[in-house]
Amino acid sequence: MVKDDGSVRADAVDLDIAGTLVRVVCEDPAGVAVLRTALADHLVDEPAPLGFSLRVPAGMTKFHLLVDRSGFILARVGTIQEGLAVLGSHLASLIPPPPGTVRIRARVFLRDDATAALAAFPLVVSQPVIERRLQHASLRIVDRLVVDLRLDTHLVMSAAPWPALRDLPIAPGHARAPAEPTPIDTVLIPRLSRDAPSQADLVAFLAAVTCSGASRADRLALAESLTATRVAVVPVDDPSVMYAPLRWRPPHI
Amino acid sequence: MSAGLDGEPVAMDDDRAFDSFAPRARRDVLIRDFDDGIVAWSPIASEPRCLAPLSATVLQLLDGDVPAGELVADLCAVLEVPEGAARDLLRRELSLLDGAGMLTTSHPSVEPERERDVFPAPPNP
Repeated sequence: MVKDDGSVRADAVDLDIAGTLVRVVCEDPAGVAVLRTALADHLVDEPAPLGFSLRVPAGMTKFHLLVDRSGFILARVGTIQEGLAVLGSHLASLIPPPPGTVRIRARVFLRDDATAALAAFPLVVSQPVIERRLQHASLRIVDRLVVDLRLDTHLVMSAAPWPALRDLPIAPGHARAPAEPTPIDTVLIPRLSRDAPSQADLVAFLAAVTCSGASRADRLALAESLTATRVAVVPVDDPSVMYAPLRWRPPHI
Repeated sequence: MSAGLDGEPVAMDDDRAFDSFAPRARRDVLIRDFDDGIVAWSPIASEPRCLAPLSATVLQLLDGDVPAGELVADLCAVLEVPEGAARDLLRRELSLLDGAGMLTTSHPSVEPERERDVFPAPPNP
């Protein structure tokens, strides 16, 4: 809400989602009302650590921005409803992963043919995606900061359990977690040294960005399986080069 | 400085003390072999390590019975390097393996496991 002096009033919504306390700050009063209704079962009175901020257009920008607690941009969208949809999907990351999966710090991109590409942390963190470029590349980014994978590298993620957020319109270039298991056929790895990484380097790196909820044997097994996909090593600070490998598709046999 | 089997510090820069120290690799390290190296993950480390072939070989030699002095002699023979160079090499490898939690004398990693925190970076103050 823009006040008379031109500043913006933001309201905080404090939540407990599966044991994790998180605060959402929203500058749109109607958005706050939607959040309080949709997430009524998770509201808490105690102040929670900041997680996400949903900002209304200000100055020259016409976009609503969703940023995480560090200020990294997660989405630039046209409407508050689209922003709430992206936020709802990100909040679902706080729910434990489905059984039989390993959680990994990565962003995932869906293609129209129900295949997917993974960009391992810290790609797509400080350099956010540009929705327009995703659209041009027929890609959609799944709005989760972590993704859940079976050991056969299929994406298997729980839907966000809040219909009032889940059923809002999806912003161009963004996607909900897919309803069906989706194969990962491409993995983007950040370039960390001048030398080309060995397979052992790749496995160690990918295992290190998995989350500790799964066994170490499974985390290593998933990392090894991911190195059997098409792996592209890309610079962290030049996001423009990642779109080409993300678009790659396996040849039809 | 590293810890000996009895928990007493071993002066890594003292050749005589170093040569009498018999390092032992943990037996519960998870290891995956690849053509171009091995990945080893100690149960007390938060992350796995990719070990170069020499580190992997040294790790396999550390049974706790063979003192470092004999390992130095082995490296001299296998790598055909002077004793001083072999000792420096072994010190470096032991330090690397110790830091990766691979030795029975290694201390647990102090890096927190990040199971629940989905965010890529700490809050911006």
